[in-house]
Amino acid sequence: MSLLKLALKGGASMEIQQYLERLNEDKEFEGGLLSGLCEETPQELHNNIIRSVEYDGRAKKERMKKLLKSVAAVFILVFALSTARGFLEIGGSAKKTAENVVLSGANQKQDSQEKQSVISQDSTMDEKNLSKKTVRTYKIYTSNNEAVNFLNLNAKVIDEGTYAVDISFEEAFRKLAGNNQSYFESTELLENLPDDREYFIVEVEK
Amino acid sequence: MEERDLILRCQSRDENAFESLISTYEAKIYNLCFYTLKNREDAMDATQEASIKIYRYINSFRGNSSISTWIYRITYNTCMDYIKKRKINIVSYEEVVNVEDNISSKVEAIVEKKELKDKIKECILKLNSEHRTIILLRDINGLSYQEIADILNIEMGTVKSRISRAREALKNELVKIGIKGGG
Repeated sequence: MSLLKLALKGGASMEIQQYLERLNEDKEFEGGLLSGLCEETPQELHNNIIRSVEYDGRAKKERMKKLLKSVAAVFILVFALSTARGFLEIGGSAKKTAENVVLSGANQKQDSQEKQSVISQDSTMDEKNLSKKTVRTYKIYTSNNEAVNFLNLNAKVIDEGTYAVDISFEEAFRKLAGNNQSYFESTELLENLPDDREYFIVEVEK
Repeated sequence: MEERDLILRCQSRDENAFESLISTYEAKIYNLCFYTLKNREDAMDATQEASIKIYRYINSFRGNSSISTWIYRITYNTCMDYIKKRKINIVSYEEVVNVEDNISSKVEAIVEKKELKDKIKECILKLNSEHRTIILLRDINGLSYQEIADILNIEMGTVKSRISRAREALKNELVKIGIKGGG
């Protein structure tokens, strides 16, 4: 027994001797020459490893179970709460329906009032927008190109051949009627005038 | 091929397959833990922690590296975490030997109280963590530069220079206790 041991020891020592020699050579050399220095593993190591792995596996399962239980509990709680809330909402909605009936009547009344008010406002606006003014108009019969050019440059076109000019009566005559002095004066209701100023409305006849 | 099959079975949560896999690697895991933590009890705890991690994350093993590299990497990271979390006081090898004397072979102790390999082990355990780990991976476990680079997540050039520095440091420690080249 001791001989075998010594022989084994001798083998290990050979490698170690080789290692020490190479170490002094200051060169790179192969690995594994100190394999004899491996620590013997404790006898109980293997069983301990297997036990710890099994224990870890069980602990993991337990953790999973606990986690699942917690998730299930939360799910049940949420479900219960939402159901209870649903019941409350159903009760609440019935109450709300009754309130809504009363409210809708009131609202309808208010709505109709509002609508009427809007309509009346609109009509006022329409009246305003569509307001017609009584304007003194002068119909000038002219073929005078100068007069037409003047109107095109300075007057606001109301309709084809009808212009609104912001000039005095005399000036209008001087510039527009020319020598013809032929005009027809009338009073008309005209609409869509540019603004509230008084205009000299001229109709040109060719 | 057989190992790949074993891994596939482990990935499908076959406990027997995992037991076979861990039987193959538990000594290597334990050794890395022991040489990193310099303490048998801590090495035992860290080995268990690493084994649990291997079992938990075996599904994330995609075969980009060898299974041994993957296991070594998990073990090394576990040891680093172990040191950070527990702030373990890394005791000297003499203390370890004194405490654990009864566990190690008594016959060997009778034949030669401190034989050569124990002295070298003592010198390795005196090195800093970086040098200890790389001596273990290269000179004790005989891993390639590439495997070491993958495990420690460093460049291959860094592995070579670190091995060189670690061996130089070991040589200095051996000289201190009177061991020179040639025995």
